[in-house]
Amino acid sequence: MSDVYNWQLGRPMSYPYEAAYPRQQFAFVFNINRCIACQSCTMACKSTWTFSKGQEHMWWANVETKPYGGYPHNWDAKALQLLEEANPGGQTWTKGDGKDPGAPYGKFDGKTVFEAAENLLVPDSSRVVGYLPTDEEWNSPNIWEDNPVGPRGVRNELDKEGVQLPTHKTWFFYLARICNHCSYPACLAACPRKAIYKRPEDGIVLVNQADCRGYRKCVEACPYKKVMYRGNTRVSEKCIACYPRVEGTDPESGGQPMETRCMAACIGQIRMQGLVKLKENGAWAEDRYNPLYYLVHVAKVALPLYPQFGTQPNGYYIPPRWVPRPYLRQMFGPGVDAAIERYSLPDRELLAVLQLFRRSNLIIFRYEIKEGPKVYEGTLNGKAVTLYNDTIIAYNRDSKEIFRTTIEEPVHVRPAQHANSI
Amino acid sequence: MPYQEADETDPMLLVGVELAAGEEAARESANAIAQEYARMGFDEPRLMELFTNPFYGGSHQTFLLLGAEKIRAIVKEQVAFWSRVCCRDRDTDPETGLGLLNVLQDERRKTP
Ligand code: SF4
Ligand code: SF4
Ligand code: SF4
Repeated sequence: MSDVYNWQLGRPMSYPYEAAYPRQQFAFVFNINRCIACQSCTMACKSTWTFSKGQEHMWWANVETKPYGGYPHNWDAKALQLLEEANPGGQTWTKGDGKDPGAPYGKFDGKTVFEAAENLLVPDSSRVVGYLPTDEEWNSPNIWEDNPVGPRGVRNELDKEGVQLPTHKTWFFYLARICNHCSYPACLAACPRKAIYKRPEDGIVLVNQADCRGYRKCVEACPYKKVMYRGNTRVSEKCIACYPRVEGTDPESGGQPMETRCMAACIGQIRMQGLVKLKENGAWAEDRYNPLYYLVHVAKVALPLYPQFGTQPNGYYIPPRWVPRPYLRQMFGPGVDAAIERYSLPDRELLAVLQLFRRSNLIIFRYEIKEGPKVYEGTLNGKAVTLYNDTIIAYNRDSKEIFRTTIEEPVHVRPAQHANSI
Repeated sequence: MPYQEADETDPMLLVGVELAAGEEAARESANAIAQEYARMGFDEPRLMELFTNPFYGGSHQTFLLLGAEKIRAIVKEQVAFWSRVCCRDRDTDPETGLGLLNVLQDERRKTP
């Protein structure tokens, strides 16, 4: 084990390998407040990468209804439970003041999936605490979430009369997930054959299909359960971050880095993906006008999913603001309250950056805001707010403008004869 | 169809369990719903319908909990702000031949 620095936890942690960082890192922000669970992302991935025999149970991209749904079933509850058993009552945070860029959310005092393995009675070969989901848990990813059920005890039949469901005073939200292309991947750490690697050019984590022998140590180790075993080839597979698009080698990309299939397909416009520059020590290099840098490190509205697992995931989420805070804090860490406050009352720059989501499929490397006139003054959530019709301009890798958009959007009316056509 | 019946004794299968959602959660839900629909071009009367009509379970719950007055205040505020930052790609009204949102926009522009 070596010591590596995990800025999401605000402290060094042990990891089976020496730290090694890519030049740039694949990263993304999902705004959960806007996801409608249309599953367009899920199907975009499925129809591109996992439509073959032996991949039926694989959903590299999936969307699950929280708190009760999960793919594989209860993956997060089970992973959290394992950590709790390894460190009863100790999985807590010391909240910081948010000023230290090396510890923006404070300090995690508990144990990560790597640290918990050190004091558990597991074979030496197990470097990560985890579990292997059963076949049944991989089946039917959205089971019980929205299913109409049939008469009790009768298979393959729906209720013919229809039923009136009771109304529950409850809350829920949709959690869209892909592999987080973690900075300290648990899948990579666990592989006895070193078949998993992290690419130096973009930090994408891949399973070398030629070296994998299907031991499924990665499937067991990944706390997010984003590596899947394929029975007919007897090797494991995972999200490849649509790397030909990210590289700009996909024919459609015209040579420019392009967002992945699941990002581009997002109907709710909740997704933005890009590449962030890293310093030699693995921290994000200051890149003030990169939209991901802005959302994660400046506005701090986008937070990592279960940072306490310790893999330093590169997927970030704007938390759903209607969900009880204790639930969100255990899911996204102590940064939740400040993130929701800022998102609910967006300032001038945040409002402009939120307009960048899904206006183009090319990766945005930089934005620029041209200030416009004041167009509204009033309140929002009971607090004073001013709206300016600013223009935000997005640039690609080569500093060429991709698009520009204003805060007040222009009206497009489709003529009657073309209604509902594209 | 699920493969098997839910096992009600399995604590991992939390199906339809009521998880307390108090006034705070209701207010946030109402704000979020009002914001999203205002961004899709809903005006105040249309949005109010979304809350008052029991057919829309989630929003109606917040209406029952918070009452008409609070909901109207939320709707007014969200429409005033977010209807400017909205998706404005709309079909023409087949009857009048007018762009549905154009009408709304023109009316808004008339009011200072
Ligand atoms: S999310 Fe899982 S599969 Fe993806 S890099 Fe992290 S540990 Fe590996
Ligand atoms: S990035 Fe590509 S491979 Fe990964 S989940 Fe999305 S569509 Fe699938
Ligand atoms: S496409 Fe977007 S809105 Fe639809 S389910 Fe996926 S993340 Fe949510």
